[in-house]
Amino acid sequence: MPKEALSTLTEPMYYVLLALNRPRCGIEIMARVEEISHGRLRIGPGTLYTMLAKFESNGLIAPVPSAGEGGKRKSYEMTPAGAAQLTREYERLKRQAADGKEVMEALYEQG
Amino acid sequence: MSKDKGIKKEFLPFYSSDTDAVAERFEQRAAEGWMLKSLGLFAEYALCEPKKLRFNAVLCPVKGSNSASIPLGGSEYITLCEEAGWSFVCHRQEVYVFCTEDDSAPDIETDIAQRMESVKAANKRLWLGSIPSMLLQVLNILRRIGLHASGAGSKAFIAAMNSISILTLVVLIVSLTANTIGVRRWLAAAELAAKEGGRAPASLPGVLSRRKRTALIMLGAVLLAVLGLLAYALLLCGPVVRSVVLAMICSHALLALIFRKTIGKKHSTAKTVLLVILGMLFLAFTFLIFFIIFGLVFNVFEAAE
Repeated sequence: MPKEALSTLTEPMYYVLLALNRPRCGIEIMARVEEISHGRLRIGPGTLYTMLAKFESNGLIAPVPSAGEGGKRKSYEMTPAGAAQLTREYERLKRQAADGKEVMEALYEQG
Repeated sequence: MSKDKGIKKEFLPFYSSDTDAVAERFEQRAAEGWMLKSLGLFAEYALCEPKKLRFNAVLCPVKGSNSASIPLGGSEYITLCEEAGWSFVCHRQEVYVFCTEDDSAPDIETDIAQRMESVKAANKRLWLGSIPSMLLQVLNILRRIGLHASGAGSKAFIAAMNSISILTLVVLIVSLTANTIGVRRWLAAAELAAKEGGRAPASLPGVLSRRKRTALIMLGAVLLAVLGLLAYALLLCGPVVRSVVLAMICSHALLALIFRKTIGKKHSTAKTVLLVILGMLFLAFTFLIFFIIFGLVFNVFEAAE
């Protein structure tokens, strides 16, 4: 069965949506992703640009008019559809972790 | 590489999957004291203080290049990269070049899967963009076969012209195929790296030299064929054929000279169509002028009378 567009998120996509819990511009998103992931994940500006465009075309985020710096910095905020997608992804990851927990604990006990 | 008073030019053909190798080349040149100024078929460098810079050459997303329709990169893409610490240097069509002195700035493209999509899309666009040229060559060949069958014109000359068209077509297809093979090799390595959670694979050593060699062989083959036709026309054909061949070569050379900067740039579809029509009108007009000139030189019109 073919996968629907954005039915599951990649790790960078997931963190970018997490970072959009409030309106942020591109550079703020990059900094916030690094902060949330404790320095583990760094997203390049080019990758972020393409991701934001994909999110926008899928209705997960919407641009926010930015007042500062003559409106040069484009900010984004999560839409209700984006929040729903993020929640679904979080629940999916929680289920995966829970499913694996029992198996992994048994593996650790074995040794 | 040619040097001229603080400017250096380097013939630099590359595939869409070779951007890492291209960036490394620019870093090397900057360390030698040559800063990249512009990028077309030739990379142009300006003399500067040797410095340690990081370069990134990226395929900037263009409209329709992905399954999600991505807006044209341009200023917004550049602004985002500049905010992240990169300085925009120049671009050649969809390949944008940035540099930074900051070792801690993240690479511009960090997602292998996304990069693979960009490379695949760029290769697809290359094939689609070459279709008009290939069709034109095929139409020219068929038209000349028709002339040959109807007995109009010199058969040997028509055969020679068709040989050039066929050779040009073959060179075009071979270079596109070589490009696709190179890109597919990189994509296979990138897919493996993506599964292992690693970085995008670096280009193989010497890849740019190989691209240059391939491009020079292709250009050499076409040039030899054109020279062969010129020699054949001048030495073995009558004044009319001689005038036609010389007029064709001069009008094409003039077109390439005048429109060389326009040809290298990317344009919208409407502008491309307009430029093609303009180019064809220019060719027809200059061909006529040159034919009259050479016709007078070789006494074509006196012979006709």
